[in-house]
Amino acid sequence: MNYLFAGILVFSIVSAFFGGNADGVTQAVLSGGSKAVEYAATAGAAIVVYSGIMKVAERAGLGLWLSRRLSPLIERLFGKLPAGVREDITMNVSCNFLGLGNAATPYGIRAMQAMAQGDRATDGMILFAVINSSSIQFLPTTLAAVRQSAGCASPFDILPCVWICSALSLAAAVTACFVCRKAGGWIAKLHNAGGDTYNRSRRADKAGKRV
Amino acid sequence: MPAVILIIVLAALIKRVNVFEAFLEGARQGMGTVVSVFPTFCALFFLIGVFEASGGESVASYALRPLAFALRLPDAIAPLMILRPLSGSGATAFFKTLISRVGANSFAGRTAAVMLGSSETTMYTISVYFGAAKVKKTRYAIPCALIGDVTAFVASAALVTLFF
Repeated sequence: MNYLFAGILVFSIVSAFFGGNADGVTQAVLSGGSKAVEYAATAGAAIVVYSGIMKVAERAGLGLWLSRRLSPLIERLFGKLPAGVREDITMNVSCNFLGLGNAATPYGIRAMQAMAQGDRATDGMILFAVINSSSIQFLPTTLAAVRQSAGCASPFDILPCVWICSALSLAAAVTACFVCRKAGGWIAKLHNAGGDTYNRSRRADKAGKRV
Repeated sequence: MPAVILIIVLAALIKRVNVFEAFLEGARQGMGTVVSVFPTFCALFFLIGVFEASGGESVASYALRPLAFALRLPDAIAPLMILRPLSGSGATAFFKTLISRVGANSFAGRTAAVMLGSSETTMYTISVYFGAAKVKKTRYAIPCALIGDVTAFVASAALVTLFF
């Protein structure tokens, strides 16, 4: 993020000097802050309202209800896991699904820490992180809030598109994970020698699942 | 949306949840979210303002145009492809300026919205999760996650064409 920020700034200012837009840049520097305040006032207010609604949903037990529905699917993807870890994973996925990203993160981090074995990622951890890094939101509230503040009459009209698109990207990412996992096993078989790190941690993976 | 809110409130009433208090607590947390991302917003509005005013944006979109064309995406959202996996608030800020320019219901505006809704801040998520678990070797996690993002980008334009 550091390099991205500094890089874009340097790139912009250099191209301003070449293009003769230096005055425009000076103005943009001054207006950037006030635009941010304006944005925080409009979209920020909507984010606050939607967070309130989602909290009511969480309290009403809708999260727990979802987590029970999702539990068989989790078992299928991750195999046998200790009960606590499975619960953390389901709560994480359910919160993500409901658009409660902030509520999901603590569960996700706890599940990752429980699955960790040394400094090398296990297959289960990678699958879990990849699922978390491809959005599975049912109601993208921030997005709708921004569209609404831009004067869009029906900010949720893109929902069917978002759902199909999320499902496709999640499917692609998970498939890629399984392909890599299989490829990893295949490479390990080629090595065949008992002592190499690949085999050792593959065995660790399996041992972890048997718990 | 009104129907969803109705269901949520009814479910809460059946469970005898204090709806008002729960709303206030959620809103307070939402407030925290807004406050915590505000400095990032300032930084990015400043950055994007400079990026646009300097003409740097047109240079970058020009450079990304072949890629956007190859993926059948509108030119205007090319920078979003790079911003999205790196910074959630940056992508949201860019989206905000984009739709105020091209309109929320334009093809580019809708495609950008679907892109945002169906992808995540991949690099951030991966670094937080593996960082918390003290894992240094992430193996195939990042490539797989990025495959998911690229799929979302390509599918978003196709689906918006299909639906609207």
